[in-house]
Amino acid sequence: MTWRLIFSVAIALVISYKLLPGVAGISSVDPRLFESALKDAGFQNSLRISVIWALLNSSIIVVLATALSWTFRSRKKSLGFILILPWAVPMYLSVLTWRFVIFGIGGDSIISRFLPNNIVTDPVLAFLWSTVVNVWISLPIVTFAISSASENVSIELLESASLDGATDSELFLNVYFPVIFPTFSGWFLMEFVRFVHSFTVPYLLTEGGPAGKWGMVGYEFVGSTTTLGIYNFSIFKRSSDLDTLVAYSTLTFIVVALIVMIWLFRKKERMVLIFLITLELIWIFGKFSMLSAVFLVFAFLGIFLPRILKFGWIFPIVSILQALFDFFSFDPVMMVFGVWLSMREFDIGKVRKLKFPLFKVLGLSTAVFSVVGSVLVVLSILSTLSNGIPEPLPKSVSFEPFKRLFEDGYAVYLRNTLFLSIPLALAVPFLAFPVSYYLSRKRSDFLMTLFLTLQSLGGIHMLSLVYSAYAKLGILNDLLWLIPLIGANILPKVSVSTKGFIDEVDRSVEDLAMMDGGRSLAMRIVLRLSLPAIFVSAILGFSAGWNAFLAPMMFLVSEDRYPVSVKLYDYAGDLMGKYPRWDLFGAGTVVNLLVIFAFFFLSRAVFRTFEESARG
Amino acid sequence: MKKLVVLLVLIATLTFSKITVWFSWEGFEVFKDMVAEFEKETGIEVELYNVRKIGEKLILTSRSGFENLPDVALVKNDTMPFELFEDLSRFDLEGFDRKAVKAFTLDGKLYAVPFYFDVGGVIYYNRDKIKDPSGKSFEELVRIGKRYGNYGFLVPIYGTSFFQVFQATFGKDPIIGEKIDFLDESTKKALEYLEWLSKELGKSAFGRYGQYVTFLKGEAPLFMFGSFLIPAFLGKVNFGIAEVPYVERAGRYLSAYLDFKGFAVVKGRLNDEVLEFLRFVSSNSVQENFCSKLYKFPARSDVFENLAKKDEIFERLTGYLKYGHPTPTSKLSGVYYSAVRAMLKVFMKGDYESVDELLRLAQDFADKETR
Repeated sequence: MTWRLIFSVAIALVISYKLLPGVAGISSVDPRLFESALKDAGFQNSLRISVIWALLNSSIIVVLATALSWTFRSRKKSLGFILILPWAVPMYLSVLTWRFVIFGIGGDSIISRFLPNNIVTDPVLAFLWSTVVNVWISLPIVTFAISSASENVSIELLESASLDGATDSELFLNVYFPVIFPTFSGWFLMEFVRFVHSFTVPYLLTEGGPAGKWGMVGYEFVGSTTTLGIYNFSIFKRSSDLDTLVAYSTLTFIVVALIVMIWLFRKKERMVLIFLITLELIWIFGKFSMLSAVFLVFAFLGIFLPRILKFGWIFPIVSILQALFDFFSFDPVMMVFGVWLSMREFDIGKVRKLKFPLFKVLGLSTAVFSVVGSVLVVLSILSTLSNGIPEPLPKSVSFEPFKRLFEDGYAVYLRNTLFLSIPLALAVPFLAFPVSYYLSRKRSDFLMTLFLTLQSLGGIHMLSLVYSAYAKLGILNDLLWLIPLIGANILPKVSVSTKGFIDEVDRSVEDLAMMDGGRSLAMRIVLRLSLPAIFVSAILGFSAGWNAFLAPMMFLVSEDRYPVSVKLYDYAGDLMGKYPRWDLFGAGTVVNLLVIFAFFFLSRAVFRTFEESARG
Repeated sequence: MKKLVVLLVLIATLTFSKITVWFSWEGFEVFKDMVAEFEKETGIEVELYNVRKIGEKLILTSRSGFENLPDVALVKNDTMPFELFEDLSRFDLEGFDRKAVKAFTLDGKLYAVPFYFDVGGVIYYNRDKIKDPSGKSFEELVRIGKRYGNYGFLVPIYGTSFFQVFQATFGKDPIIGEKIDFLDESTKKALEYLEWLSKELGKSAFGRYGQYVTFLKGEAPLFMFGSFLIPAFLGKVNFGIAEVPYVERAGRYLSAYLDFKGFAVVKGRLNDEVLEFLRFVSSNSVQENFCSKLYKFPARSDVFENLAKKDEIFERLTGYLKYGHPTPTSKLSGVYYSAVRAMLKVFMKGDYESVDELLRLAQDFADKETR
């Protein structure tokens, strides 16, 4: 009974924060404001930018991650070393440090000595540098996933084929790639969905980027990196009424949800076409064009005559041409259609005929890129630890900033961060375990799909909807109410990862316990055997609280309630801000990283103890 | 018994009277010490917070209900959310600078008690690099700067708040009544002037921080910026302040903007303790103490006159007041700044056919937001 109750609470929590705000938004949105949001050229342009940003970034990341995992397939430990920094450092800290690497002090930076770095006035450079930073940050997780999928590649087969004279390129295309392809395509689409509503990288690095006159056509300024997340954030900051915020957030929620559905049902043609038609109808309502109308008819006919879909390429191709001639004239729905079509029509057989002699070079270059990026990040943190004005390269490292940091009340921010992290470290394993157990034993595809879907729906738009609900309830600016919000965000991820561990627990022990004392005893036995995984989920809960950035940044206004993440952002300030306190930022970053690494190593030691006790 | 209860309640009220104050911009430490004195003198406890981006935070906090707002907040006249604050018209403002009072008055209501103001558009020069350029026109300063290359004369050409300096120099108030208008001859001339400046001076250091650091390091002989930087430069760079330059192309002296800060009271919070606090911050001693340390202009005219007599920097700044103009006190200021920011981004990128086109874009942008 208790387990069921905890399970219900966990599911209710996730749904309350990850789905209900969107549904509530749809049911309560003011139709006039919704219409004006749909017709806002700024929103439309930010959607176009989002689709291109997502397409470019997801493509580059999966290709580079594949090259990296292929090149280091027999030296997997090296991969850990190469990717440790982008993997371990919280995203907001990485981006702010990269901003110092690229832009430095008013444009004088390490990068400006070798490469153009004008992210303030050059829209293309702002977009490219954001992509570089995004790739650097996102590479580890995709590389580890592909590398893990490559465990199924037969080493014997690779070796014997190699002895028979197969080239590196042939081995990759004929043995390695077919095995990892499902992971490759899955991550490509997952990253595409995630990047459609990107926020942290493009915002903290370029604040939406510069623009030409095309940036002034909407209600808010749209720069070259103004993704949907950033556009929503502009509305969040400036809009005086919550109704406008709800209208934009709901619209973004619907667009993102439809793209998630296309990804989720990617193998069911008709479903995909229905979602595409819905998305196109929304687009046409805001921005009519004859081509969009033709595409709509084509998609509709495709439901009944699937054979015509093979001619569908014409639409994404025309969109690309339109984008090349006049970027803000293309229909982004056709581009989304192109992404789906490319995965649907992807033929491994055709790829095998291609030759990639430079694939290993690409893998090595990616490794160099990751390591050089890490070195630059470390150098920049050291540069900021100066006693006076920081220089692009470290001249002298001083301990004074640490003193100033604690004089500035850093201990309060650390205390606030612990206030978020400790309850989450306790609550997350408590709530996640029954869910993981259910996922493992019932093999519930529905719940698994629901979790994956909800995980992809999040973003600034969802936070804005929760924000407006909190505002109405009068519970904004309260650390306590951030705990369930962050918890709901991390629960699906933790439940799925703990499920993997429970899958491995011997069913016979559980069956015996079930006969002796029923489900409750069986679960307690599994709980005992899953202690290492539960410990890991506690660590994940703690990290989620420690590294939480977006929700505290939006929901907290009183400085005395800031966690370290928001305070560090405050120190770094805006891109063109008056007084960034890079010295305090550097010192705070070092303290923060020391805590993260100390916690990581301590956890490893405790994990081993738990593992041994569970085995015993 | 009843009397005893009333007495106890009264004592408790007196003992625990507390107000919350949000402070912002420079001088938090100095102000904190003053507030400590106030607490000692009056027994009123002040919960004081240093809040960055206070205008934005007030709006965001108000969404969670008024109870989360402070009792008193230091605000800027051009970006304050007027709807959150009490009318303080009945507060005694004798001795206050008329411009300062006007800056916080909208539709006949006084929304804050003026505390001090900064000046935006002050010409700093590095004494180690050049002689005092006072008396030279702005165009001559540009020529001097050019001799020192890209870092010769640092002008915040793309700074949102500085656009109004050039607009006013060419004879235009940023917002007239409740109307934002970019399509007049003066604004056009101002933008053309900025275009000329950007060609002459090149794109040196980007952003306010880059320019500030360049001057602080002693690399630039001339720098146009806000007076609030004076304490940051003292003892670190051998600087002086030039007299207000004449702008030949405008046929006028440079019109710096006067950036007013005052204490506003959140609706429903105007009580005796708050009034006591307002009286305290308006006193001659507090204004003189705070402003002399931070090189701010006190809102009280007599205090300012005293300071100008004693200090060379204050004396130089007097000229900037004479030709300066207050930042716009209007509910449309946010829209104005937003349109200027967007316009200057496009201007910076250089993606426009003519100045007229750029101004038309700014006008459309502002009109959309106003609607």
